[in-house]
Amino acid sequence: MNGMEHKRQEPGIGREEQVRETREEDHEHHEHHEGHEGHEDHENHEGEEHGERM
Amino acid sequence: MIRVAAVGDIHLAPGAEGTLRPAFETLGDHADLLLLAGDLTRHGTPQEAAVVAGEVAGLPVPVVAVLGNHDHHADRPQEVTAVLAAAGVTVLEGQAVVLDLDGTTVGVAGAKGFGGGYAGRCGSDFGEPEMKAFMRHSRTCADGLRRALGDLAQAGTGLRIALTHYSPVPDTLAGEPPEIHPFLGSYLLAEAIDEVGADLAVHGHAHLGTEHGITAGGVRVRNVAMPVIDRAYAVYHLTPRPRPEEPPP
Repeated sequence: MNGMEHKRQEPGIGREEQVRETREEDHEHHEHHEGHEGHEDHENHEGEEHGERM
Repeated sequence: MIRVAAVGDIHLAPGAEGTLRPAFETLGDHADLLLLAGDLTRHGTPQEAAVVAGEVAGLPVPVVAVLGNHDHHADRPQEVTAVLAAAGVTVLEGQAVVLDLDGTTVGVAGAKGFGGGYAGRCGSDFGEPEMKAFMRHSRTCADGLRRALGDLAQAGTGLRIALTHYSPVPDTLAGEPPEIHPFLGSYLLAEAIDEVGADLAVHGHAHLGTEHGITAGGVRVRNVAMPVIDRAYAVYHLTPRPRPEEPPP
């Protein structure tokens, strides 16, 4: 992703820092994600139970 | 049946060591290969690439990657590539790799891709030098993907997969603001995919997008950006084409 959405929110102000903070929030989200059917967070991920058949 | 695991936009950096490794170590039970769809680092430094390397080194399945725009940010993509390659990752840019897996051959054609937009709302090779350079880079990336897919078609692999960072279709951008679609991918990638044909196209880059899409030519597209799939990797099961009949001895 290029961080464009963050740039629009705060044009030209600390864009990279905002991207980094967002990434950390993303990871935090993953870390606290309890998981649901077919979805596991990457901290506690034990593998994909059901792959998509194509 | 070949099981393809894929994820993009993991954006690792020092301090994130070990966040994905536990999940990746289970890959042998669930997949036959792992595709990394770019933006593996935050700013494209070799130090960040070393963190990625630590997460994927010695995995029980082959790992194939393309770089993303973040992996280019420090202007050191060759060094990032070298660090990943030293960890056993095959990093593609306008190239293909053929893997012999479970009795069949799986071909992966990889290119970063670039922006430019989609039919009716795309940039063109016209005007200022900067605009021409932008679109020229987009076309160069798509041409590299086309050549790599062509190599796989020539080789007659049982499966053919297109791996990019930028999206070939707008379908998988649903959820992203339409104003930034031209920065998220290019129709030129889809043209390359449809011209040669593929069993699956995998990309990342669009964190707010949607997992499922399809090209005009009917090739299934999957956006595997980690914020989209919301897990360490997605797995897709593909049925290979039968091997050509071997001539009798």
